[in-house]
Amino acid sequence: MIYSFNRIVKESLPVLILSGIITIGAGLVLNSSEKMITAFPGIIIMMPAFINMVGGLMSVLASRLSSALHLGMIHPKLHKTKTLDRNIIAMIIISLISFTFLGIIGSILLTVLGLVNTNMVLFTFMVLVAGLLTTMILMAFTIVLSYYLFKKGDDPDNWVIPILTSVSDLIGVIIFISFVSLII
Amino acid sequence: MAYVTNIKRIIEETTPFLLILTVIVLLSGGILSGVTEEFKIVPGLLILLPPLLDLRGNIGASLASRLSSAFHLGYMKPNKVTNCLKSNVYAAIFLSIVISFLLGLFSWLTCILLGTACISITTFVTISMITGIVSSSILTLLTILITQISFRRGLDPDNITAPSIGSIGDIVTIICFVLTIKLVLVWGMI
Repeated sequence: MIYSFNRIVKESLPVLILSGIITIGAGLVLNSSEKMITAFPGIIIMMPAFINMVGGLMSVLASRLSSALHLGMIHPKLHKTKTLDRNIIAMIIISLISFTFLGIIGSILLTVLGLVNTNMVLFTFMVLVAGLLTTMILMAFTIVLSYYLFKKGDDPDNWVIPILTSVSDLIGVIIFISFVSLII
Repeated sequence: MAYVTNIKRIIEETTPFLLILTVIVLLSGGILSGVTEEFKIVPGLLILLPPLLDLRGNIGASLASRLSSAFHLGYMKPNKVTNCLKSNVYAAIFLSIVISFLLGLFSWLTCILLGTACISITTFVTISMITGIVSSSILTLLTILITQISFRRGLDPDNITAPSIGSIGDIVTIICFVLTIKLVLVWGMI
């Protein structure tokens, strides 16, 4: 029986603590921009959706990469393979679509709530560029981390996703806040 | 199912779901904007937000994925409380108690070490634990429900439970966080 209380707790605790510590870093960044957030509540409305989207994209990539590694379609060496290329291109196209969508829906929501009169084009462009930049950085991180764990003989499935969602929270918050401070 | 390498298919299967999730999470961001005044009055509160959001994902989504595997393996049957279900639920609740306590403690320690203005350690731990425990309990129930329903309908719970628990978790956690902050203010803990 693999599902005993002790085993679940013992195997989950280290990852949970580590990702807790990483996300407290994201919290610190958010907290230090508290003045900006109270002045522009739009930031706090967009933030969960932005980091959720980055996290979602990266979990898809991570879980696809570990399946491909297990199936032997990708070898953990840093050179070009067709499968890896296609995954990367797909991720870039998905983030183009998703972040444009997030920008448009977000600026409609903010205008409806009467929070800010955002310039929809500028706002969407800002969300898109911030999103693409975050995706690029995290994709590199995901690939390196999955390869490293696979080479070490660990199953990337167990570690990459929890760690990755925390790291994408951190990087996502930093990049999003810096872009917002650029346009206001 | 074979591994999909067709770019068009990866995009088609991933995008719709991501877009629906985005709208849901945007709405929960709207709820959060209701407490921006409190963020001004209560220093340090924002530190807790990303870790608490992350907590539900890590505990809830892995519970969902364990329960779906257990269904496939036959360790669980719909409408029956098996030992496997019990130990999974107890572990999820136990983990959320321990981790939300540690999150409160670590956040407070980080504030003190960095010299950031913040509330007392009791308030930090209280907010973190109430939010963490209440939202985890709601999410654990929802996870069991969604897994059972999808399994009974002949759907693979793997494809449904973990992703939907992620975004439902964001909303539930944010509502619990907002209510806890209001409650703590009413109690006069700050």
